[in-house]
Amino acid sequence: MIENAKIIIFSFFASLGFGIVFRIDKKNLCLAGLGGAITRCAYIFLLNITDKVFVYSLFAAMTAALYAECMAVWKKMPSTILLYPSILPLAPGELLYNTIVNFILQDFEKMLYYARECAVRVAGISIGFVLISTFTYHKRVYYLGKNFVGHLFKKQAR
Amino acid sequence: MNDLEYILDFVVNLGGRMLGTGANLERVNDTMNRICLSYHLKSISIFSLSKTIIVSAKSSNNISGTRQIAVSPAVTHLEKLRCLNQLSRKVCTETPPPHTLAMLLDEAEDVQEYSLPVIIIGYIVALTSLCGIFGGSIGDMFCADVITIILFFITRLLNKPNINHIISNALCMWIAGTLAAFFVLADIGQHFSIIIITNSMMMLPGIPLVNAVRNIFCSNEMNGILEILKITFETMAIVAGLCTSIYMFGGLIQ
Repeated sequence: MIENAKIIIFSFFASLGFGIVFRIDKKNLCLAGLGGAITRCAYIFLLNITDKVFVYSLFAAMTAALYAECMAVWKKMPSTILLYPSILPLAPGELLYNTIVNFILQDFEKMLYYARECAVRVAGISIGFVLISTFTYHKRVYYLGKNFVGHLFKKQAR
Repeated sequence: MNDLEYILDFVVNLGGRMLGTGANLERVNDTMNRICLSYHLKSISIFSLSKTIIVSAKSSNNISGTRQIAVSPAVTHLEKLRCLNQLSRKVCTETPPPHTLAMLLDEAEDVQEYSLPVIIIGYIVALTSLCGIFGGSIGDMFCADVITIILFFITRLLNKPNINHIISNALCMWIAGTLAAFFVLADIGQHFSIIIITNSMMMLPGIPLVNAVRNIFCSNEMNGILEILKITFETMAIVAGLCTSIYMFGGLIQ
C-alpha cells in the first residue's frame, strides 16, 4: 500500500517534470502531474485485476486519454497538452532495456519475450489513445443525448 | 497578394508550426480544414506528412491556389501549441481580414519561455521520480540526474550544427552507458540497469511511436509507416550506443 502510494506520488512529479520539459504553462502543470498520478492509479488497479500486458496498458492509456480529453474540453485547449506528460510514466523503458541486454547476452529466448511484451504494451497504449480520441473527436463524449463532459463540469451541451 | 494567398499562407504556416510544437497530424489536418471552410474556400485538398504540408483550395470567385511548406523540426512546446490552437479557434469564429492573419500568427507564438535552469530542474524532477518508480536508490537518482544534465548540454551542443539525430542518439546513449558504468564502479550508484533505463526515458521516442501508430489507425498510413521507420532507426541507434558502452565498460561492473 505504502509502496503504491510512493509510486503514485513519483508519477505525479514525473509528469509534472515532463510538463516543464514540454513547456506547459505554469497554471496547467499541476493538471499534468495529476494526469500522471491518475494514470498510475489506473495502472496499479488494473495490474491487480489482470496480468495481461495488453489489457492493462490499453485501459491505463484509455484512462489517461479520457482525462486529457475531459480537461481539454474544460480548459479549452488541445488534449495533447495533458496527454503527453500523463502517458510518459507508462513508456516501456525497462522492457526495451531488457530486450537490449538479452540481445547482448545472446539469450534470444528472453530477448524475444521482452521484445514481444514491449510491442504489446506500445500497441495497447496506442490503441487506447486511438479509441478515446476517435470517440471524443466525433462525439466529444455524448451520453444519452447530453454532452457528458460538459455535464461533468456543469456546462450546457452545445 | 490576394485574399486566397493570404489565407493559404496562414493555413500552411499555422499547420507547420503546430506540427513542429508537438501536435498530431490528424489534429493539424482538421484545424487547417476548418480554417479553410470558415473562409468559404471550396475544393479543399490537404496532404500532410510530419515534414511536409500541401494545401490547395479555390476561393468563392473560383481562383485556385496551392501552398507547400517543409516543416522545420522544433522542440515540443505545448504552451505554444495551446496558443496556436486558440488562434485557430479565434480565426474560425471571427474570420479576421486575411491580410492580418500573418501578424496574428506571429503574435500567437510570442509566449513566455521557461529559463534554462527551470528546464533543467524539470528534467531533474522528472527523471528522479522515474528512477524512484523503477526502484532506484538515492545514489541511483543522483547518478541519473548528473547524467541527464550532461546529456542535456551535449544534446544542445549537437543540435547546433544540426548533426543527424540517429548519430547524436547513439553518441548520447554511449556517453550515458559509460558514465553509468563508472558511477556504479565508484559505488555512487548501485544499479546500472535502473540508471540506464531512467536515462533512456529521456531519449526514447515514446510519444512519436504512439503518434505513428495512431496515424496508421486514423488513415494516415503513409506518415505512420514513415514515422515508425524513423523511430526504428532512432531506437536502433540508442541500442547501438548502449551496446557499445556495455561491450567497452560493462566488464568493470560485472
